[in-house]
Amino acid sequence: MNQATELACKEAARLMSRRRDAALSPDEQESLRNHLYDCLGCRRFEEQLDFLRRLAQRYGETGPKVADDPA
Amino acid sequence: MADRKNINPPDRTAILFTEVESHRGYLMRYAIAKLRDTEQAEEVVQEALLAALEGVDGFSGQSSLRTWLTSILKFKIIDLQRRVISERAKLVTAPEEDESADPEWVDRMFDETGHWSPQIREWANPDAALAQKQFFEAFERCMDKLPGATSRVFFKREVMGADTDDICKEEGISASNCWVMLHRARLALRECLDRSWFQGGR
Repeated sequence: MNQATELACKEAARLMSRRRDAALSPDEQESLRNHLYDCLGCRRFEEQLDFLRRLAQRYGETGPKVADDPA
Repeated sequence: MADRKNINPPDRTAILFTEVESHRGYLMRYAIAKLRDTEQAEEVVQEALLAALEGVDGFSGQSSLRTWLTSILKFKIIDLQRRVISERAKLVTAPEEDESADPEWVDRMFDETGHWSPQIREWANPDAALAQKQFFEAFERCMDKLPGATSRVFFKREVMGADTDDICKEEGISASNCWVMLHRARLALRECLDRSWFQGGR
């Protein structure tokens, strides 16, 4: 057994957010990895956080970019 | 045969005006994130847009129009900050939010055992939304619903790409308070986009 504890989604979400801003401890990384392996909802949440970042970056660079000449 | 180069100058100005004007909402949010003051933000955005229209020949088209307008705005913000600082000592601002327990609306996203409630649903082809003007308008409406400080911190971190340490210093808050605010912003924006766009609410 290791020190990593079982997480609920609420805590996993907090860690997924924090690792975008700072490094997690090895225990936190391990707990999160285990949680994500079992939890479809949190994997979707993480994908959506990635998308939110792409959206914010696009928003700061060009705004909506209409695809090359819609036919 | 119509030659696009021969558009009359007044028409060109009108087209340009509309084009430049369409970035006002973004520029306002940028200025508010930096200045924390709506009136001052309106002032610098107005100055920047005027300067842009006057100096449009300096726009090379190598960067996006939004990037070019933002660079003009940055100078206007620095100018204004110099004027304000010379007028009065820099304001010491108290953090607007503390890092106490999660507000009720965060708790409502989870059941009593801490699992998502309702379950997180998949977003169908989200990248296609990045080409839609209405989607960015929905994103702006979602950002506007955040508390002022939370919105500012999110904007600095995710839109401007600032370093968390620098944001903490500027805002005068602790790192953990900063993480809490960013997390709440992400939770709220994800939920808002889910409800207002991806689950058929558009």
